[in-house]
Amino acid sequence: MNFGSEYKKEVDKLCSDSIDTTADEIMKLAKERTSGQNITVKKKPKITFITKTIAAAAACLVVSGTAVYAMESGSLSNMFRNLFHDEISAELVEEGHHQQLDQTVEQNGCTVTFYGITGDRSQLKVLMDIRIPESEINNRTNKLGVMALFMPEEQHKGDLTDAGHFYAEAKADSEDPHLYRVELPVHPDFYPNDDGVFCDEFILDVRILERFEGYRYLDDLHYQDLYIKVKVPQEIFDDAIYKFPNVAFTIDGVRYNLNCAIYGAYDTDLQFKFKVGGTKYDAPYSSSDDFYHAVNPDWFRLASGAVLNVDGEEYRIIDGEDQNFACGIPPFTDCDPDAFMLFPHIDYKSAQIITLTIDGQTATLKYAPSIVNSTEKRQTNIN
Amino acid sequence: MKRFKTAERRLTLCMTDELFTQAYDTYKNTVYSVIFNYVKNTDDASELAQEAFIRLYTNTEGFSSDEHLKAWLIRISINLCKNHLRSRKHISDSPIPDDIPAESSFEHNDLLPYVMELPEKYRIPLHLFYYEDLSLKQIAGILKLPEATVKTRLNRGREKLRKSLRREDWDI
Repeated sequence: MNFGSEYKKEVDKLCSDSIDTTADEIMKLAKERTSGQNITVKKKPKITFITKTIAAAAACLVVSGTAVYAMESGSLSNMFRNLFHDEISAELVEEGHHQQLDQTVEQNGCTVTFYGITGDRSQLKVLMDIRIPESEINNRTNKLGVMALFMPEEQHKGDLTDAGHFYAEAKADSEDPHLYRVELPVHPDFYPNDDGVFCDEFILDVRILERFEGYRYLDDLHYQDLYIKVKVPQEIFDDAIYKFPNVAFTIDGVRYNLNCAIYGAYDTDLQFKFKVGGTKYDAPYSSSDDFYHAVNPDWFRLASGAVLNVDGEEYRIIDGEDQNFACGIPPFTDCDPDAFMLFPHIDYKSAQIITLTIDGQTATLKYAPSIVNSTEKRQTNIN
Repeated sequence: MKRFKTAERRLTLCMTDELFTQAYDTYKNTVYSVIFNYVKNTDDASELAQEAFIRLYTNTEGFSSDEHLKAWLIRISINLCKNHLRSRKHISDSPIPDDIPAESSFEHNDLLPYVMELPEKYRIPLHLFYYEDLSLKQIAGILKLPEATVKTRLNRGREKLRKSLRREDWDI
């Protein structure tokens, strides 16, 4: 079944069932307000979605601010490298882009130890252990999903019912059945708040543990007090470089504009826009999903053959269609769809020449040959 | 979607009742549904939707296009919701008893309860993408987020939705 079309039907029905105010009534209210009269907003009986109640276990909180293992950055990098085979994070730690955490929190026998955090300014990775008490170990449980919050303290003090959680699958320790290792990716909100102040203090809060038997979901364990406060100034993390090359590829009559390239520590994200008017995709679409299914196979084929060349070294896309996809809206809404390619990390700063080849067409994303080469080139041209 | 005629594209201080009525008919579902996605109850959604349209009627700025008007309405709606939630006025005077299952009021809805259980950061981009057919760039502009962040949230929202629906036959 098509999610988009079904969702629209349900929302439309909700609106038609719920909206009983006319434009005339709104105008009357507006005129009353502008004339200084008191306004009584029209009300109707409430219908509420009751969010799944979080069963708050009786809190037995123990927060330890002391170092657990007093880990050195070397051991932090080794944990990234040896436990998660995450060479990128390990190297970021070794380059100094990390923050030691070394704190333990406990609630109802569940213990979380936060070791450290590393990453670039577009995404961070937190290293932690979770120890589950005997009472919570289900014989069938062999995998844990971890859902955690990472947000400014002020936000954390508010209503967390709808707060966005970051998710990672924990790895069971090979020897200790109660111990799970976690590398949690979080996206720091390194943006100014309403007052223009950049936040660098966040609450890291493990809220939900999902128990699995293989790939089959069993149930959730909920916690409220497994959190710590972390200070992570964005300056200590590796930079993520944003470039806007504005180069285009025309393939089968479709013009794909590469509008933005994000060169991060973990990957290289190329973001395109394309027009469908007058192309083979110019057709009536009933939904974004229909459009996705029309354009995405071609785009993924193009992405799969694309080559990012950095000073002679060739890179191919990473991951699958989840990360290299085209999407957008039916063309009658006048907006250009998006398309994405995800390549491995490259060293943008030290690269001299970066090119992208798609379907036999090559565009230059960076051209900064060494001074000697530039001089030689100029002399050659003069001669 | 209804579109304003070219001659009527720029709504000004002298907005006529006729133009407002046209805008209301065109965008009432847009405004109501995005607000409902934030506040998750029809009572507050109705109040806030009325407030959004009152602001449109009394608005002194012009709009260069119907897309501009639509984006403005969505942005105003979101701001109203955030202020509303921040002020805690959303706490119901007569809360529904906890023993009433959430789905009972929407027994014919297969998807909405699942979407409503998603965290807000995934729910709103998904709604704007699937219901309003907005592009990543438009969503990023409205939510004041980088496009890459919107893309990530859409992907994660889809993943969570697939997981919670637990049905293979939904094409999300």
